[in-house]
Amino acid sequence: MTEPSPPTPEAEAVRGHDVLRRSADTLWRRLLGGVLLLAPDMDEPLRLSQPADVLWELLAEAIPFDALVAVLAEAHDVPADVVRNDLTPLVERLLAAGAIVVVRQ
Amino acid sequence: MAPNDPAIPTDTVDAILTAAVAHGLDGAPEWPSGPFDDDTIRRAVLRAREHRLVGALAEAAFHGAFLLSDEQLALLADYHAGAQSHVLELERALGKVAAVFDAAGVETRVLKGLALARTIYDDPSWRVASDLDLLVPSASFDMAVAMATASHGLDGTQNVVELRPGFDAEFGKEALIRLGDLELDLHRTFVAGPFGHTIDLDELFADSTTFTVAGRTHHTLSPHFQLLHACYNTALGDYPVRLCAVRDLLLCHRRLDADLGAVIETARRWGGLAVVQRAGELIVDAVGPTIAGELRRLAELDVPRRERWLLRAYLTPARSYSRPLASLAVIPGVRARLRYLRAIAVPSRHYLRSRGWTTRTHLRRAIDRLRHD
Repeated sequence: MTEPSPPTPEAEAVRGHDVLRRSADTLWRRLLGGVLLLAPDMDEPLRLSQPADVLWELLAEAIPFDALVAVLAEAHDVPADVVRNDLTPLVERLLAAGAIVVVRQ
Repeated sequence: MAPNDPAIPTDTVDAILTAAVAHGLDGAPEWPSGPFDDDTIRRAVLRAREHRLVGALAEAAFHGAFLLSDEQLALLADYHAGAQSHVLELERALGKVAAVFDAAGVETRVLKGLALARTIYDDPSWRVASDLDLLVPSASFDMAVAMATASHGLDGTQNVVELRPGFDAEFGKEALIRLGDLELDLHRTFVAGPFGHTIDLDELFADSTTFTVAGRTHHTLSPHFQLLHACYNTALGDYPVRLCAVRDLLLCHRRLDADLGAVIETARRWGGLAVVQRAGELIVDAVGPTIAGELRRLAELDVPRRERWLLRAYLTPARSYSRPLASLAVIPGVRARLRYLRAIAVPSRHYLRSRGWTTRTHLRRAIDRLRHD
């Protein structure tokens, strides 16, 4: 298992209006303090620890990236720009691994 | 290490395990209240690991029923995450195996952990599994093993081959295939020994329950046979019993649309009343009569003397030898019995080589085990 790391150079850039959701092909389990993912293009499971696991809960249904940022910013009482900067590499890594998909651009 | 027999809780670790077995069921005992010392929790987690109950501990901690310190929670979280990492690898392998078998028209029924996690547990996150278990029709068994080990198939390795050519498809319980770090168990019947020979295997493929993993539909047994298989697995799967099997049986009974009376009748028809009766006894021993509920009926069944005798072959450390001998009593037909006897007494050189034995050491080992029973 690995903690999230910066996206690979091939990672797809996410844009604010991209609508995202979990890929049906991604295997996952709830953990004590996180979730564990295994997407088709992952070599080994990826552990998303709190609070990043909230992202996985929100992605159960299609949601625009901008809305994800807004929800998390409000939940953690943190400026949206800060959340966006923190979230973008993780979301792009998940996109690159096929764990989540863009359902509408 | 083999798990210990379940007992009435005499210390905190036992009480934690008993609470884990029945967690979420009506009438379940309260979880022991803390604070606990770290050594108690470490021992509880290790015992839960032996009994494959780490998922139940995690579930209870997740829902606030099992209160732990931050350090204790971190220990449990690590064991749970490690176990679930393995399960995700197994689920990925299930998809690959199913794709190969489906393309070849080999029918399967997923057994045990991977199927139960998706059909009787509230959340698959709370059931761990060690292997990938698939039931395959006898007629397809050799083909399934060949495909699992073929370089153009799944590229698995069968370290211990069958006793003699054709033995597994006619008499065997399972073939164990290594797929990298994972184990694929191809089952022909539920259990080794006499009670595995008296099951009507065709019935198991007449119907199914489906579940989905990563977009692919898989088949497991119908609710009726899931409940019956849970009885066989509890009674005969591990000796001593693993408490996860007890929890599975309790959940199967509460959550599947299966009639216990009909299950008993099938067991009677298969000559397996002793099996379901023992499962009932183990349930009552593990969780008491209140939580066992209707499953107490199993413990109260009258079992034919012959079945009691056959059951003894399973309840001994020498069971890898006593079960084959007892099987001779139930295999129908003189010729089939002779084929079976020849295979267990004089295995092929290929088999002996795969175990690192000679004919002489094989026989001496069998005699020693049976003599010391």
